[in-house]
Amino acid sequence: MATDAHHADPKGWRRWVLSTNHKDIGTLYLCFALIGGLVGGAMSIGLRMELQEPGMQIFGDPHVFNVFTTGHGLIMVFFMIMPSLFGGFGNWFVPLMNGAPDMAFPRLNNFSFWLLPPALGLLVISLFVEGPPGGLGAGIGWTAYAPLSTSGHPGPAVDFAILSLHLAGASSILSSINFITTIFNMRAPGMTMHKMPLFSWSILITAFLLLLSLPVLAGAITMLLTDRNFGTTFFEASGGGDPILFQHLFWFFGHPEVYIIIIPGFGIVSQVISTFSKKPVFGYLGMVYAMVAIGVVGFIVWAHHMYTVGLDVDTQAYFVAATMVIAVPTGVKIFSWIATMWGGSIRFPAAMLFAIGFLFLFTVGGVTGVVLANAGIDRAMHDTYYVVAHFHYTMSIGALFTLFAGWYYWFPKMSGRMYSERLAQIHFWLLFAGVNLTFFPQHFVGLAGMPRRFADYPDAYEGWNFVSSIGSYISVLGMLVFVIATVQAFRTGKKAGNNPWGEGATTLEWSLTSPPPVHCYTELPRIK
Amino acid sequence: MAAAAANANAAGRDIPPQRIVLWPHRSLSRSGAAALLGAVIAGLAVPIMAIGASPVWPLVVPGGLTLAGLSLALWQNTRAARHGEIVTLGPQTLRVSRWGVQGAEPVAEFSAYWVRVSLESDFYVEDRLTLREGRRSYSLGEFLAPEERRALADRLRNALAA
Repeated sequence: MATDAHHADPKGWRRWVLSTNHKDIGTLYLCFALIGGLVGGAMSIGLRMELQEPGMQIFGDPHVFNVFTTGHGLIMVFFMIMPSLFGGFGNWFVPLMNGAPDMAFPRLNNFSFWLLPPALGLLVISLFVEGPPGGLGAGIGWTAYAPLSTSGHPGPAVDFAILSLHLAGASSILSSINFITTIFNMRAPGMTMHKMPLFSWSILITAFLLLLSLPVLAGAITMLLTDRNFGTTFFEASGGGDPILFQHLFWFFGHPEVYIIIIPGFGIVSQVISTFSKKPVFGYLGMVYAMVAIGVVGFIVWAHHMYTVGLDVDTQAYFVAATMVIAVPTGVKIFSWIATMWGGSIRFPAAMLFAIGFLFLFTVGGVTGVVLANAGIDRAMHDTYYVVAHFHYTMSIGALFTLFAGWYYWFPKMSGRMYSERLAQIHFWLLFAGVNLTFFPQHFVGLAGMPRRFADYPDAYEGWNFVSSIGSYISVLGMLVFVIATVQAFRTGKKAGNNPWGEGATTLEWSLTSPPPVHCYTELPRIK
Repeated sequence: MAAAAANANAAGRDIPPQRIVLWPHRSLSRSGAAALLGAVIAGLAVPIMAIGASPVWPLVVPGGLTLAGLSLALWQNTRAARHGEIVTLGPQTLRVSRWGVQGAEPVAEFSAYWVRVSLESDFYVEDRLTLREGRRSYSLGEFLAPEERRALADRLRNALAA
């Protein structure tokens, strides 16, 4: 009669391929993101090597430069940052923090992950098939504007890229449904919404943003696909369509995507700063509703990416005002993080350094965002390196720093090993110097008028471009130290206790062993 | 992880049988689910309304599929919690049944005189509530919180002693 709650767990390849365990699937996402990061990062180094000096350096054809730009953007967004912050850390820690035994739909969780490798495969295939006449690959940028992506690229490369996005989008929608169900319906007794850790809140808000924005992207790229292959003219003016419609649809997805990338990072930074300041986060409810506000307002500002398409003045005025409003909840978050540290018993392990590094980077990116929100200024800056610098400070290196903050914060919990603090600190300082050297000078060349998405440029821009390229090589050095630190931690790292960070770490995952058992919470904890 | 108890209609002679119904916890109420789906419908409608007269079917189809997926997920997850255990304590017997969407089926029956109620902790479960009679045992209410199992154990002991 006795029931046995502990069933056999798969071993070997079955553990990973057939896994329904949220922690294993989280690990798969993190490993996948590492591969995506290596490919996308290598592409960015190719771009910087090309731009190090005027003239053509390593790419024989400027189209190849555009293909690399496209691949770098798509891979970093869909196959590196999203899988790591949302899929990786989300899967690992949302059930643990909320006291749920697993995700609501473990098999769906497995399926969501395994949609991603074929999606990446399709994108890689697109690099090797014809795009424009006589050229290989899709050089359409991550925005895939028509008519460059329709009549400009008659070959199948764009079709492969579109199908890749369809698969990646389906994966994210399924994940979002899983997270929303888990967070709303499977929280432990006593874990009310207003007691939920900020990281769980961040994943919930991100899941909603994905759920509402990805169907629009799916619709837009389906229209693109039918325009390309089935004779429709949604975006073809000669057939009664409107190419600007694609931009509206793309940015209705694209702007929330910026927050999809960074909001999980907000959650991580909140956990890290609170832990290493040994204080509860300042203004918990304000932090929650600031994230909600950023998510909501993020849906009604999309056309600030389109000031130059001929919007009427009233429309521009609305989008300027709405965009400026986002600075308010963002400011609430920045000041609350600072207030959390204020008067705290602060320690500076690598996770905290990356979190503070994020505060600096995101503030710089946020301030230039306020500049670009002005339609008049943006008309001059549009498609210059100023914009490139702005969005890299926020959604690229800003998100990357939250990723590393989360990595060093939760590495002992995930692996059961401690990492070398010295190597991690070297990693931080090299990366911090490298990314700032890479992207800060891009403000200068952007202000001087250097346009983006060109493989060559006038000699006048040479100096800062050289500095920028050197910065990217220093960043690569920092990443090498990261790899060494990780390998060393797995090989010789000391065993980690249940809670290596002490009294500041108060969320539920720290009550479990490091690494946690295969099945956590076979009984549900009650939150007081 | 809610536990509810209800006295069944009197069926015994001296002591009326007691019936305790146990079911797993779900944190989303029915009205909460309706509000959630309403918010998602409103959010999905924004871009469709924004593009106005332009062709909307390419947006309606993925949006509709997403909404259907979320509704199905919430329904399925709530339905999965519609199972549990029923403990019926009569003058002679303590019977445990499992109930689900397809009705209840008995899984264990103990003598009300000889059954012992014990709480045992192991690596995985704190205060596992076990019913024992001789070499037979049954782990009751595994989906409950430890506090709920402790309360249930007290209640069963009192009822058995009465």
